[in-house]
Amino acid sequence: MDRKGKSLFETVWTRMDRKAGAVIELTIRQLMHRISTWVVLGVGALLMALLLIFYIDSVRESFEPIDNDGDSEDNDGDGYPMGQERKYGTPDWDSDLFPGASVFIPESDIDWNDADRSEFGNKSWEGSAFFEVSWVDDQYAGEWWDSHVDWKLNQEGIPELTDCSDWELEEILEAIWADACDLGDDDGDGMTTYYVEGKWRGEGIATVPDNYYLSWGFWTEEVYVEPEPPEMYINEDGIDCFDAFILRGPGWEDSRVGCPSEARISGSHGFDDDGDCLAANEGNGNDDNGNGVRCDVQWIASNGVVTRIEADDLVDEDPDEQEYIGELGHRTFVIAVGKMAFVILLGLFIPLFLSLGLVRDETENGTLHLLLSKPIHRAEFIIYRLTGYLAISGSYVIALSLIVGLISSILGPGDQLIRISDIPVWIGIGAATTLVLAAYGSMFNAMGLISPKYGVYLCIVFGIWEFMMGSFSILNPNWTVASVSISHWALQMIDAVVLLAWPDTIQWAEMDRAFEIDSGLSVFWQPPVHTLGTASAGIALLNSLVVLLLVSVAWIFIAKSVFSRREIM
Amino acid sequence: MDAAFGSGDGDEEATAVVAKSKASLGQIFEQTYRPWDGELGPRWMRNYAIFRHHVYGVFTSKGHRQYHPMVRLLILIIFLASLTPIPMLFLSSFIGDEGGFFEKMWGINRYNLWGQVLGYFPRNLCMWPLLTAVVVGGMISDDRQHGTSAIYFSRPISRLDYTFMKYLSVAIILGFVIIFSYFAYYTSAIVFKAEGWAYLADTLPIFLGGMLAGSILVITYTSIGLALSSISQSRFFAAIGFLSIIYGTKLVSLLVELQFGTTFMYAMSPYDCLAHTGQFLLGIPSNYEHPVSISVVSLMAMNSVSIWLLVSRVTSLEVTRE
Amino acid sequence: MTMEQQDPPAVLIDQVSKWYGQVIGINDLSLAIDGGVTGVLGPNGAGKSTLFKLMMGRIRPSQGSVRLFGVDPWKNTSPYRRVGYVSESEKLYEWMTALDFVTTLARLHGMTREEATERSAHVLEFVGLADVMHKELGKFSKGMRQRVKIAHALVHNPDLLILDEPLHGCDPLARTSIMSVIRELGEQGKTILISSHILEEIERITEQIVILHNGRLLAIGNLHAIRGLLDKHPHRILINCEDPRSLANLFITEEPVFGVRFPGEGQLEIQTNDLSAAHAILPSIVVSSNQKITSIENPDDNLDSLLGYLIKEGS
Repeated sequence: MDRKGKSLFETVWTRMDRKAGAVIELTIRQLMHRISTWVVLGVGALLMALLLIFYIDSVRESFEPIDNDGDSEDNDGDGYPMGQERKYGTPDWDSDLFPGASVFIPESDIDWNDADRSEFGNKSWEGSAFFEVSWVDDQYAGEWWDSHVDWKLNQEGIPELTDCSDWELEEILEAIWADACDLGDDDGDGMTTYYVEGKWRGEGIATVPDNYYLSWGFWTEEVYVEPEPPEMYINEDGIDCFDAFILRGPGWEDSRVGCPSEARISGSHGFDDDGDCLAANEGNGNDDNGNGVRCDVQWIASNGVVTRIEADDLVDEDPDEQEYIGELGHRTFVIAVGKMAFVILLGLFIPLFLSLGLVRDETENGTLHLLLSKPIHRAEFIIYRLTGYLAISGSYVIALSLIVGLISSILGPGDQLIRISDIPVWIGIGAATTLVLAAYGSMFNAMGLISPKYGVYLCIVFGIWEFMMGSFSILNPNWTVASVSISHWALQMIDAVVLLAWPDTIQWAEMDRAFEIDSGLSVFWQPPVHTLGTASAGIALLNSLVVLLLVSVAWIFIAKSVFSRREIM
Repeated sequence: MDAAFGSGDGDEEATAVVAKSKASLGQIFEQTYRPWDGELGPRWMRNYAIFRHHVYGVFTSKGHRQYHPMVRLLILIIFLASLTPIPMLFLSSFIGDEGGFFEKMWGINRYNLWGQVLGYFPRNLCMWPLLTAVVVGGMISDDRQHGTSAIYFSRPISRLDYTFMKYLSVAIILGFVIIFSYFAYYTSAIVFKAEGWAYLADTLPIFLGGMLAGSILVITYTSIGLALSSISQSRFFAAIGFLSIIYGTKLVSLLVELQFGTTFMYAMSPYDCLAHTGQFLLGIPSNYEHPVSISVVSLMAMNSVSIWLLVSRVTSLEVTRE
Repeated sequence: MTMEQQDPPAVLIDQVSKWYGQVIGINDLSLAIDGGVTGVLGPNGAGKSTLFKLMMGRIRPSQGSVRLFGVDPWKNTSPYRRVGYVSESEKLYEWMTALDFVTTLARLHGMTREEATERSAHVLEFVGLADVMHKELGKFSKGMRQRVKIAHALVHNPDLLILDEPLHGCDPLARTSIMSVIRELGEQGKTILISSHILEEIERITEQIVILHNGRLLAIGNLHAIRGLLDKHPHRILINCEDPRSLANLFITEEPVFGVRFPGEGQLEIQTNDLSAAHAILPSIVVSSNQKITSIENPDDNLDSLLGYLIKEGS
C-alpha cells in the first residue's frame, strides 16, 4: 500500500482489526449461503420448540398426587391399605391378619425339661400332650399346614379317633402328628384321655410327656375396624422442619416451619406424620441415619446450604408433590435441556456441520489462493475463520437458550412474573455450549486440516466418543475416564452455573433423593466435581472454563502448525 | 446412443488437427463417426457390473470403487467386533459352563439374538451407524462431486437401475457385516454346543425373527443414508447427517421420555422404531409404552420418504460436475 | 522497506529446486526479475505454476531460496502487500457480486470498508467490468472471471503482479481486452510476470521472456534475440501450392535455401539456415512463379519447435 494516507490511527492493530473483520464477514456470509447451515440451525430451533411444547403441556396439567411409599395399596386384599395395616401392626401380606382381627395371646408353656408337666384349663393349645378332655372345640381349624387337629366328632359329640390304648408309648409318639388318638379312660374318672399333637382348643388336663413341649394361650375377640380410604395414605407424610429441637415433645406443632428452616438448617428435623416409622421395628421405630433420634430426618448443612439429607426409613416419605415437584421438575427440565439438547446435541452436531470445512474447503476449492495472496498470516486466517463460525453458531446458541429460557421462566412455577434466577442459568448454558462449539470447532477444523480427505471419519469417531462420554458424565461425573472429553467439562460448567445461580440445588437434589420424590433432578444434576477440593462452584466454573479454552487454543495451535507447513497446490 | 458411443475417437482426432494446423483459408474436417456395432449385454449384466464395482471395492480397490484403507480397516474392525460373541461361545463350551455366566451373557436366547443386531450399546451406538455413515457417505455424493455420474448416465443404464444397484451394494455391504455376523453367531452357537434338531426347531423361529429385524435395520439405514448422500455434494454432509439423525432423534426422544414420561417421541427415532419392531418380532416384552404398530408405520414412512427422496434426486440429477 | 540503500529485486530466485517425491517440479533455477513485463513460457508441466507458487509462498523450495523484495515469502507474509497474484484456480465465490468479492479481498490489505469499496470499483472499471460489477460471479463468463481475478490482484496497487495463465480458456475478445489491460499496467511501470504456454499470446504483450521446460530454465531474454539465436539452426517453410516441383526449382538456386522436400500432395517444404533471409526472398519468388499459393506456414515458429531446438542445444 502507499504510505501517504497513514494517519495516527493506522496502526498494525487497526489493520489487523480490518482484516479480521473482512475474514469474519466472509466466513459468516459463506456459511449463510450454504443450505446445510440453515438445515442444521433450523433443526436445532425445531428441537427446542418441540421440547418447549412438551414443557408447556406438562406445566398445564397439574401434578397428580403420587403415593411415593406405596402404602395406599392393599397387597393382601383384606380391604385395609398398607398404611393402616402398618399402624395396627398387622402384616400386609396376610389376608387373615388385619386391623381388628382376633389375635393369639400366648400365656405360658411347658418346656421339655420343666418339672411340672401338667396344666388344666380351657385354652388354645399347641404341642404334644396327653389330654384328658372335658370339652373340645371342633371349629378350631385353620389351613392344612397349620397342623390343627381334626377331632372327627360324631353325632353325639364324641370324637371318633384311632384307638391307641394298647400301643407302646414310643409307637404313639412316633405315629401321631397333627392328629390325636384315643387312649380310653385310663384312670376311670369318666373322661377320656387322648394323645394330641398339633393345635387344638379345649378344656381339660394336659400332661406333657418328658422331653416334649406344649404352649398355650387364648385368642382375642375380633373387633370391626373401619378400613381407611387409600387416599389417606397418599401424601400423608410431608417434609417437616422445626425451629427448635422439641421433636415429639409437647408443643412441637407450634415450632413447625417451612422447609428448610431458616433458623436451624442443620440438625434433626422431620416428623412421622402417619406413624408408620414409629410403629415399625415392633414399635421401636427406625434410626437408619444413626443420629440417635428415632424416626427423624437429619439435615446437614454447610455455610447455610443444605448439602445432605439423611432420613430414617418411613419418615417424611410421602410429601405433597404439588408443593415440591413443580420446582424440582422445572429445574430438572432446565438442566436436562441444557445438558442434553444444548451441550451434547447442538454442541456436537453444529460444529460437525459447520466447522469441519472452514479452512479445508477453501484448500479444496482453490479459493484459498485468493485469500492467502493477501498479507495475512495463516494462523491469523484460522483464528478469524473460527471467529466467524463462532459468531454464527455462538450467537445462535445464545439466542436460542435465551428464548427457551425466557419462555420457560415465564411459565415456570413461582409467584413472580419471570423467574429471574433462571436467566443466569440459561446464560450459563448458552456460554457453555458456545465454549463447546469453540472447542469442537477448533478440533474438527484441525482434523479437516490434518487429513483433508478423511478427516471427517476422524471427526465422527471423536464425535461418538464425545457423545458417549457426555452421556456417562451426566450419569456419573465422578468417572475419571469421562473427563477425557470436551463434553464432560461443558457439563461440569453447567453443574457449576446451576449451583451458583440456584445455591439451594444441592438441597433440592437431596430432597429429591431422600424423600423419593422422583423428579430426576438427582439423576441429571450432581454437584460439580472438579473443585480442587474446595467444593466451591465458582472454582469448578473457572476450572471448566479454563479447560475448555485451553482445549480450543491447543487445537487452534495444532491446526496452525499443520496449516503453516502445508503446501497449497 | 450410437453417437454417444462411437464419436469419441473421431472427435479427438479432429481437435488434434485443428490445434496443429493454421488453416489460413479455412478448412472443414470430415467428421467420421464410427458406430459401435458390438452386442449390448443384457440389462442385468450391466447392472451387475455396477454392483460388482462397488462391492468388490471393499476387498480390493484395484479396478473397483476406491474405499480409503482407513474405511476398509474400520469396516473390518466393526465386523470383527460384531463377531465377539463367537469366541465367548467357544470359551463357554470349552470350559463347559452350562447355564453359567458365559451362557447367560452370550448364549442363544431371545434377548441375545435381539441384542446382536438391535442392542443399543455398543452395536447401535458405536458400530452400525458408523459403518453406515462410512460406507454410504460418498456413495452418490462422490459421483455428484466428481461428475462421475456422467460416466454412468452416458451409458445404456437407466437412472433407476443405477440407484437400485447403489442401494443393493450398500445393503449387501451392511448386510454382510450385520446379518452375516448374526448368522455366524447363531450357527456357531449350535456347532459349539452340538445342538440337535429339537433345539433348532425351538430357536429357528426366533432366529428368523431376528434375521428379519436385522434386514429391516439394514434396509432402513441404507435408505436414510443413501437419501442423504443423494441430496448432498460431499460425503461429509451425508455421513454426519446420518449420524445426527440416528443419534439426535434418539437423544431427543430419550430426553422427552425422562422429562415428560412419554415414549411416544421414540416413533421419530429410526433406531428405536427398529428396536421396538425387533422386540415384537423376537417376542421380547417391549420397552416402549406406545403400540408396536406406530413404530412399524413410522419405519415404513421413513423408508418410503427416503427412497422417494433418493429416486427423485437421482432422476433429476444434472449430469455435470456440480 | 523500499527506501533502503539498495533495493532488492522484486523477484529473486536462487538455485531453487522443488520436487514432489520422485517428480521434479523445478530444477536448480536461478532468476532475478525487476521491472517490466516478463512472459514465462513453457508447455504444460514445465513448472510455471510451481514457480509462481514458490514465489507466493504456497509451497516451500526443496533447495535454494526465494525472495520477494528481499523477503522469504514462505515465512513472512509482508511482501504480499506489494504483490498481486492471479492463480490458475478457476473457483471464485460464486454467490458474491464482483464488487463484493474484490472489496472483501481488498479489506484483507487492511483497508477500511469505504476505502476498499472505492478502490474495488476503480479497478473493476479499469479491467472493463464497470457495468457488471453488481452481478453475481456465478453468472460471469470465463473471460470476465479472469478479469475479476486480475482486478482483485490490482486492488492494492501492487508493485509486482504475478499472473498465472490469465488468458487460459478465454475467447479471442476476452484475450484482447485482458492483454490490453496487462500492456497498460506494464506501461505504468509495474513488474509483471505472466505465464502462458502459447508463444503468440506472450508475443503480443511483451518481448521479455523466460522459457521453462521440465523445470529447467531454457532461455531468458528478448524474444527476438532468442529467435535470432535460433536462426542459426535449420528452419522449414511449408508452402501449399498448385505445382510444388516448379516452385522448388525457383527456390533451390537461392543462397539461403539448402534443400527442398515434398511432404505431400501440393506441398513444398523449403529448408533454410537463415529464416529472415529466406522470408526476404520469398515474396519475389512467389510472384515470379505465377502460381496460386494457398498458404505459407512456418511450422518451426511456434513454441514447440523453439523448445525442440533449445532442448537439443541444451543437451
